[in-house]
Amino acid sequence: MHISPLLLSFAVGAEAPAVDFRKEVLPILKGRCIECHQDPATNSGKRPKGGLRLDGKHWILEGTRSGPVVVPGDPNLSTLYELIALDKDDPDLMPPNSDGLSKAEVETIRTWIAEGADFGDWIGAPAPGETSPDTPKLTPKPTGKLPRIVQLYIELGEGLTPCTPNQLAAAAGEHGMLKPVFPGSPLLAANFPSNQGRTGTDHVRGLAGCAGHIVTLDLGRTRIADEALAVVAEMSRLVKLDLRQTNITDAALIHLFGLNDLRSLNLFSTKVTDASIEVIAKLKKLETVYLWKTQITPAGIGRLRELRPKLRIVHTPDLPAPERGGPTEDESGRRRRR
Amino acid sequence: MTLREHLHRADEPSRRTFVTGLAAGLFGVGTAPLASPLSGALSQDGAIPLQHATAKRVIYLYMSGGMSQLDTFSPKPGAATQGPTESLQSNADDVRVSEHFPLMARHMDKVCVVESVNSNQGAHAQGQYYMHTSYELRGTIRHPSLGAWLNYMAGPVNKTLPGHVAINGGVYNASGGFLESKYMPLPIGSAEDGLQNSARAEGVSERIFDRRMERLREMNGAFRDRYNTKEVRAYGDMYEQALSLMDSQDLDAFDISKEPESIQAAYGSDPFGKGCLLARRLIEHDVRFVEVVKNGWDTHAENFDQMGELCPPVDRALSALLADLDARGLLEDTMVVLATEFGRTPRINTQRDGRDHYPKAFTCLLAGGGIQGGIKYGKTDAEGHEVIEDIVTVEDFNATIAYGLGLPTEYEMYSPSGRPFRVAHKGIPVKAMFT
Repeated sequence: MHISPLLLSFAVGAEAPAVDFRKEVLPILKGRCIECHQDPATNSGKRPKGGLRLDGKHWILEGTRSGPVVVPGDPNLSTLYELIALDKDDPDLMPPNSDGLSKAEVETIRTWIAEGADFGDWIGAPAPGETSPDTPKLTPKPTGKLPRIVQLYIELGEGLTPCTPNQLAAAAGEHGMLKPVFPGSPLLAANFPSNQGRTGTDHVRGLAGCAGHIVTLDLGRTRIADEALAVVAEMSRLVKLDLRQTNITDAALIHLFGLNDLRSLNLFSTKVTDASIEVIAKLKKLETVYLWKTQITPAGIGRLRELRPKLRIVHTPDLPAPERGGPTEDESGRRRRR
Repeated sequence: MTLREHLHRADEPSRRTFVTGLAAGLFGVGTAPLASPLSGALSQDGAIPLQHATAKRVIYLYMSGGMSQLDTFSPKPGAATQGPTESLQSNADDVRVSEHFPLMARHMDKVCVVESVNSNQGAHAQGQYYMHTSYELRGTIRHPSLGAWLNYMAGPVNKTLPGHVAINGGVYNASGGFLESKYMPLPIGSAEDGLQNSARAEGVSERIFDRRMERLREMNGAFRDRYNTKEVRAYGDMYEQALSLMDSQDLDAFDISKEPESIQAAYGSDPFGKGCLLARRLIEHDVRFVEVVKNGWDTHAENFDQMGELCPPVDRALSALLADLDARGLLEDTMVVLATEFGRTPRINTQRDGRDHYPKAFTCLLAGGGIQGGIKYGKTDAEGHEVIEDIVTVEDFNATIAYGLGLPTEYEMYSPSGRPFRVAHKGIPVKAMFT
């Protein structure tokens, strides 16, 4: 039986609610069709089967090279309907290698086409060169907030006259590197990169000329002696001091007493002992102290915790225990893995 | 192309790219064709004004092949898409991790989980390239990856070690692009073997060696003065860089056997764990950008079985790395990134018990270097299909890393052929991820 498309659409149109594409058709496409008929970019680069994409309005209406697959108003001229309505044993039945869609699903698609294939507000994957309203907005929420440490540097640098190039060159000496913490800031970050092994107390003393401008000082792995920290005592704006892997002792920390802006103190792998606990506790603004591989005892850590409950005390790290299945030796002495 | 070939292509740097990277990284010579040497368009190291930086260095852990978000750091307990993978509460209130990350569950307070990463590239080569460079793969140009941008814009810190190192492959993606070849990463094939051939040959005394180098400089000098172009300089630089490396006090940084056994054991005995340990040693010596690659995440088949193999070494190495960096005070200004080219389909491919490529909504991690720990940024729906809050495009993600490093994301740099490029293309930094 062949029903005139005009007659059919008229007949159905007169009746109540039409098929809702989003609610009724799209779930079928998503569940049974789109896996093989979608954008290669979302499918491991695989081309859509039969050159047909069903993941967007534009693509469904475009059909394949051999022509449209949906003729609005005429299911019987629509290949999409034809191929899902074939007999179960027909080799061309879609989806392939299955019993096909359920009768109700086939009927939904037939009715939807017969009613004129209305997509509602659905667009799906956009046509080439267009963007889909279904794609979430690409701009994340802007927040004007600056990182906390940067805000601190802005405050500390206010009203300070920058060091002159001559002062900077003299302070840096042959091994040092002094750089503004950000462009335009009079505050300086100081370190001795690539020459730690050749950097000693004298090099650090050179920093005196710019002492009031230095906010971060990295002396990690240098060969400084305790006396080197005498110059650090003049760094009234110092926020971060890194002394890791040096030979400094408790005698060095005496020099830190007046550093009222110090937030972070790194003593990892130094010779400081429990004698320094009271000194560390008196650094008012200190937020983090690193004490792993020092001679400070658990009792010392406990004491510091008591004195400064909010201070972040980093000592023994929570490192993973050795693997159980690690290499073992069997009787023949050969290494093998469990 | 068969699946096996796909896997192979996704995971292994080809011999040619390896050799290219080796030549470029170790010897400072690029084999990629360059347009006319408009060297004037390229400025010197560190000449570009930086912004406020919260991080100085990056350890970039790359999960090659596309890491499943649901089975790692964005589980959706109770959802139909979750499959058999269970999840654990971490030490951060809002963060759960999959059962394969019991160690990381104790360190999520240091990590920002970015759950809403969105890419438009669904194939491996294209996705990896996009993730590394923020630009789509094109036939006509090679874009620099983040590590190259950092060294180019901010300059190297350690003058005797390379500023950019790639461990366990990754040479193809970590790239100097159109920048001078010295920004190419130094490739380290195996962390255990460290840097090979960095000592004077046996039987060549220091005196003879110096005399040879002196002759070389004499012979090259006139030519170099007459043809002072980027390519010619690159050949000269290659010797000078190799010499300063041979002479570096920091060469030990490449030798992980110098670490105490307890530390080596904590990172694990597999290549990824060793790579992470080497990365830590290198950044301790102010190498700016170290990438470590973990292969094998392309779990189209037997996804759930494979997770049990793939995740534990990452769980171990990442926990060890974060704890170790923190205890040394280095996590304050070292950003640790865990990235992948795309995620995997929430829908389980029931025929093969696998998950396929899914660039639409996936998960990457950021930690340290000013990043707020213990939080989740962005949200996907209950089953993980769609981003429903705070989408972060690949370009935004890279812009966020660049922002932490103080690299100006608006700055336009011109390639040798005169085209403008930016460090993270059109990405906008997500400042909300910083403390």
